[in-house]
Amino acid sequence: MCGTSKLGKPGGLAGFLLGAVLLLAAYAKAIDPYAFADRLRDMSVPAGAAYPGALVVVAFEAGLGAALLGGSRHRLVLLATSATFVMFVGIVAWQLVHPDGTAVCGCFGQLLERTPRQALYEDVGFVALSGVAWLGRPTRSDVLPWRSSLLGAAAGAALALSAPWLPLDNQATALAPGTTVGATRLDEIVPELRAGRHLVLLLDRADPTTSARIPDLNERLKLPHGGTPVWGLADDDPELAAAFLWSAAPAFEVRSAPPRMLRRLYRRLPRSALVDGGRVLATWSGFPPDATLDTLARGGLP
Amino acid sequence: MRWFVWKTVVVALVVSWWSAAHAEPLELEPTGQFAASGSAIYRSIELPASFLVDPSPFGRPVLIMTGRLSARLLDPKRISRDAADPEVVRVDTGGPQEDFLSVRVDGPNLVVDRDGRTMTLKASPPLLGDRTLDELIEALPEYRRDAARYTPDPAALDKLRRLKQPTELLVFFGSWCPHCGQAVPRLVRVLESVRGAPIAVTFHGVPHDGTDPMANDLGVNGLPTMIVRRDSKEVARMAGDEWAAPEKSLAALIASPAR
Repeated sequence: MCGTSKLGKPGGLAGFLLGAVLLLAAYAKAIDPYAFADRLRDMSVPAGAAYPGALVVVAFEAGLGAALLGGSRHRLVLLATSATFVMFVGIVAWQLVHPDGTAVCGCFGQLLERTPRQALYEDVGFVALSGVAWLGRPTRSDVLPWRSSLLGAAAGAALALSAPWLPLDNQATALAPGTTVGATRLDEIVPELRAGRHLVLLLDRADPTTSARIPDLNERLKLPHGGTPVWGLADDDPELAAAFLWSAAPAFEVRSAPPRMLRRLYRRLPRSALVDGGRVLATWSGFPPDATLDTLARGGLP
Repeated sequence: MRWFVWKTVVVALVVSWWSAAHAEPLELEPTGQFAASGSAIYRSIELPASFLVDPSPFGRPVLIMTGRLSARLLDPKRISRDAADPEVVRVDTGGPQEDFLSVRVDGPNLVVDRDGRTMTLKASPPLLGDRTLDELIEALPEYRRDAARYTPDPAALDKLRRLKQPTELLVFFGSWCPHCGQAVPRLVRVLESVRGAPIAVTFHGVPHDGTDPMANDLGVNGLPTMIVRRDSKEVARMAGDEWAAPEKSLAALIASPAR
């Protein structure tokens, strides 16, 4: 028991901080579970197991986070916490060996993008913090916090299951009002976006509903001579690009982009954004409403 | 009532005849992005895309409109060359809309049929391996047109023209790559503007899956990338935003007074 009273405070604070980190991590994954499932697939998780796996991870992190935030420092809770952050370090180390630019996995998904190196330093810090959380741990009176853990896990899973229908696109993706086109990396594909006003449409060229809507968009936006330039962006697939050209006949240019780059910008396709002076002004899930399209066709600002 | 119906029909006929007779001519330019056996393919300059296939296996040129997909035979008299730019072809799309062919989308290809004869319009395979400037432009004629639209910086061109030391440029690109479609024509314009300077250029086409031994050996990890060599040694490399004004980047890389 020696030192418990002195070390109890930093230990408790560390546990509290780790609880907040795990809840934030669970939230970041839960608001776009399909993107997290894609990342799991990239890490060689079988395709069929990726989405259920994503839900399990969200529930686990939320349950653990709730327990820690509730003040529990039960041996099993702290063991699970340390193991989780050690696993994060392992994943980030794997990403360092298989580099792909920016890490959007680890803890915070699209909420906080980091390079694998930054993520590694951060996760090593969390492992150290999980060590601090063991200091001054009450050994007798602490009970396993089943109720708060289950409640946290259920809330995390419920959020993940319902998230696709919730208006969380701007939080869950890198395409949100106020961000620059440089931050979205859209300007790498369409440098014209750095100046002037443009409508950007993120498209799934394999989706028949999208193809069927294109003639209406051409007409409403009075393309190709409408008041607002329009750019389509879609996954880089030459076969789909040709088929889309024949059947949808867009009166605007559709440029191909690497799937991984576009995946940061949407939860579901299609998604649209209005860009003005190199900055995102507004976003829409799907295509903008007809009244907005009419205003854009006249060159106005909706 | 009968008089009203007749009047409406006559007005509708006159309006449709007038609009067909006064339709804007369609402007098209050669494209290397699509191919049909033994035919030249032209693509409309404006969107949505239309295509002219001439000659065609049906004896007359075929005009293909996307969207409400249609293909029809054209009277060759309806096709003319632009006097100012012989690369551009004009098609008079007015007059009677007839001689339609059966057309269908088959995956990435477009298949046109009539009387047992078939023509397939398909996306061209990627351009692979080494190409000279002239070979590149011949294979991708749209590069020539996009090059003509670019105005290089005169001061940078002057620097490049005054170059003394022989310089080799090795340009890695993908004919399928949209970045390259924007950037490489600018370099084409620059190279055409400094013909006579001791600059030798090779364009190296890379496949879509990136499996190109030469690109991998030289550590090329983005397209387009230009490697500048002197005496067979790499002295500089151009990539990313440097392609926005290739003449300026190139001049900064190789045309300093000492060089």
